[in-house]
Amino acid sequence: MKLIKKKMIYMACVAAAGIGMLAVGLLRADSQISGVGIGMLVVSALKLIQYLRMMKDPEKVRQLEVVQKEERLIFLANKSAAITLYALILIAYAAMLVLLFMGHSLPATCIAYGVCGTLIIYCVVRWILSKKY
Amino acid sequence: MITKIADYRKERRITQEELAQAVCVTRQTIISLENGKYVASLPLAHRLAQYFGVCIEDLFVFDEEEGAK
Repeated sequence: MKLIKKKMIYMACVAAAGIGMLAVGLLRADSQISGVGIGMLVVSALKLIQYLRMMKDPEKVRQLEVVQKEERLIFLANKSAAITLYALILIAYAAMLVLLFMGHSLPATCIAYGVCGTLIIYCVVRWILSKKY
Repeated sequence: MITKIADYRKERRITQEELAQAVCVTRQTIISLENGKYVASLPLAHRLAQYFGVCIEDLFVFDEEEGAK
């Protein structure tokens, strides 16, 4: 039940941000900002309704909590994220080389900096985690 | 890693779903554990061993060749 309440608080924050964006969009007469605000508001409202319905069914709440804390699913998510990172770096390198051969040095440099930044973040996070564990 | 989860489960006539509920995991995890596709963490191994009332060593047979890889 705790997990559902946390999710509901998070969705309420998203709804509040959506209302804020909608208000700003209406005041500035900017359809893009108000559009994003409406989107956030609708999604969060639907999610809140879903959670309220779930709260009436303790079995569903229990299932959700099991799925959220399940070690195999966490393992799968971590492994997927790790593989995605490697794939992303390889694709970025390939794109950088293609752009260089095509003579677009500026976007290639931007991608190279992006890859370097990612690798620096990886090293820093790894160093922090190695200290922690 | 060879597991005897399926043997103990069948011996006690418990379904995968019931076992999954008892140790707070999904049925898919029990299937993966029984097939040897996934190796349980120490807390989960402990929960399973406690559930069956056996030692972890009885439930999970460590393959030394596999562990050395």
